[in-house]
Amino acid sequence: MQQLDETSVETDTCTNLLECKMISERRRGKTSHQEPELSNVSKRLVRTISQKSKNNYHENVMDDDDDGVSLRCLSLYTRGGGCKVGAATSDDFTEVVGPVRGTQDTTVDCFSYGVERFWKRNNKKKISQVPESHQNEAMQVFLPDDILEMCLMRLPITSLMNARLVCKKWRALTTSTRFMQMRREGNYPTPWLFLFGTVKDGFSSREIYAFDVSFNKWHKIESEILKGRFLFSVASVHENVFVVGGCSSSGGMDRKTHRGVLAFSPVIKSWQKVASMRHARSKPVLGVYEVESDCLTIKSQPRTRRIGGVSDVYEDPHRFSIRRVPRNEKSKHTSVKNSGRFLIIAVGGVGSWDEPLDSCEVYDSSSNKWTEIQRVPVDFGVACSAIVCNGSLYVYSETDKLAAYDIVRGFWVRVEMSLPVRPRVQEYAPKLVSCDEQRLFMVSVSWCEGGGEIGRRNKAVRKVWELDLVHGSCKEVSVHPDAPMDWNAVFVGDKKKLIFGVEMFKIFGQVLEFLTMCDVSDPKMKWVHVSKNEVGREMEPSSCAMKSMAVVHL
Amino acid sequence: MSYSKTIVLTNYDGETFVVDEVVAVEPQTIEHMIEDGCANTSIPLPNVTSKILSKVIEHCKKHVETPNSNEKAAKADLKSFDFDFVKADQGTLFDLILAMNYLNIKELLDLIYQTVADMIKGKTPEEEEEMRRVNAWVFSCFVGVTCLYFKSKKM
Repeated sequence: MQQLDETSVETDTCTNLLECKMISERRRGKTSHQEPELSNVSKRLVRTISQKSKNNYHENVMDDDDDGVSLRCLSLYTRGGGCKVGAATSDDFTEVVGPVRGTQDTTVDCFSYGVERFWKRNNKKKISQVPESHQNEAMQVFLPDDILEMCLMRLPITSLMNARLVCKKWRALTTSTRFMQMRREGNYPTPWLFLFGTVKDGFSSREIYAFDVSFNKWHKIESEILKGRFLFSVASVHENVFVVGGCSSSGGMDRKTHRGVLAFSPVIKSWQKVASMRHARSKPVLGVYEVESDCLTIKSQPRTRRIGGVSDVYEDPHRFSIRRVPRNEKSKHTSVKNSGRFLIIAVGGVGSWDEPLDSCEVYDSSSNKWTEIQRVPVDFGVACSAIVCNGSLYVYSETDKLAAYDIVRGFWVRVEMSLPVRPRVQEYAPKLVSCDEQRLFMVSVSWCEGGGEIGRRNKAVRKVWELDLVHGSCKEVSVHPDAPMDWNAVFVGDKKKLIFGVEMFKIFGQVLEFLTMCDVSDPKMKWVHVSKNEVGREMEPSSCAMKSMAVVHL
Repeated sequence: MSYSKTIVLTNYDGETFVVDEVVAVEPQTIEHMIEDGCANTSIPLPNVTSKILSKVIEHCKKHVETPNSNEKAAKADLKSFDFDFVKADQGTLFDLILAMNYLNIKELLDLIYQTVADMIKGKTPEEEEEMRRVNAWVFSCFVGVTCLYFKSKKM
């Protein structure tokens, strides 16, 4: 209607100069009383004019050459073209008509153009599809989802994520637990390294650096929750990384040691809080035990003197709590087998008052609870590395002692072992690494043959020892090619056959990082560099001491 | 290696293929048929066209003939053969998938699944969408869903 009025006004003015003037006056709001009649007249005029213009356009133009420009426009308009009224030169109307008509025109224009394009595109799509679909029409009808599934299963996680965005069907196919389990069983997940605890701008950064080994590519994951948190320990369980304990400083010198435990799921980039530990710890050593049998019980700590702890009365019910896991809960558990039950054992660490801890506790995923277990043996020293292997937790102390915690029976035993005879370099704490849940390795730095008169650094070598638990012996299996520059180098084994190491150190005013990998199934056990100096320069030197790493198969 | 017995395969088009038994038992489906004793005259394979069947037989032959040793050369040879084998155009590949699925040749299935996965790998959703559009076969997805996806992306 609005549009019609506008046109009518215009036609009016074009045909009759007098009326034109009056309307222009009306437009200015001077002669408002004449409005109804005028508009009536104008409508009638419009009709006649448009008829005329249909009949003979040229005549129309000739008729009123006073206002030729806008008339031409009008006729164009009535003929259905997209006329640009902005071209009208008449002083009276440009300000009123111009903008209104202009915008209307353009919107219509855009719209129709858009629609046209849209249809063209759709048509094209259909056209291009016709030959192929025609060719395989019969096939398409019963193209089996299982084949599609088998193909999608072989995708690395990044591509799988993209595949999920393609359409709902693919999403439904690839997000089912069955699919993910089949993918795991088929050994298609590839290792990812997650580097935690880096420091940036004088503050623990909230970024996690993730390295996709198969694509050789770094990713950065923002995680606000980790901001300001440091000296925590990480352990990977299934597809999650658990961040245990740690400290945070709320400005100034205050430093708080945490009991809290977070579970990070890289696939969905989500964080979840799990039960807090019983003691605040920073840098505890962690071991992860995946429980196969459902009837495992955790022996809680036998009563020992403790100051300000939980009293006997309260502790007692927990003692056999795992055994008494309600049946229904257990059955629920078996139904969700893929997220199998696991234990995280936290040993030692540093407490709230900077005191070294010798207490240990176990987290059970089925009850979401931490249970205190027997302390590490007396005069064991500060635990510096731990790993679960063959159903036991092995802990190595800074005083070169090895102890094993029998998870099923719940006690510590000293492991007597002829450990590497050559003296190790004290600043470099040995790391225990286990591969395949069967083989136990130790990575330590020792002095090279030939004494240490010149260039102590050059003479130190990082070696991998394999510990033979049956015979209580160990043998050197590999030598790391890099000179040991980082005393906090992290070495982590995965479930299969790879050991990953990350070394970070500051040299020539720059932080460098080196990622190395070693395949233990290969008898030569050669180390290869997988990444060099990609992300280190973004970090501050203190990252070297703070970092921790977890390997997750995604 | 001497081939004692031959098996006759009849395909979708009615053509017959005479194959040595050693080769023919590569596909599990045929193996089971022979075991069950239904292979006295000829084995009908109604789902497979002659083009695909000849390709499959070629593949089986190659795998049977290659000595099952750890020789590096033989392995490399087989690998390059497999590589060329799956370099077929996508229509053929699709037919192959279906044929494999029916004949149940494990190695070849693995090979082809991996090939398709490699095709999808490293593509953005848009590219994948594009690919799926061009090769409607791999992705038995509905055009409607695609349009919806496009719309949602535009918004």
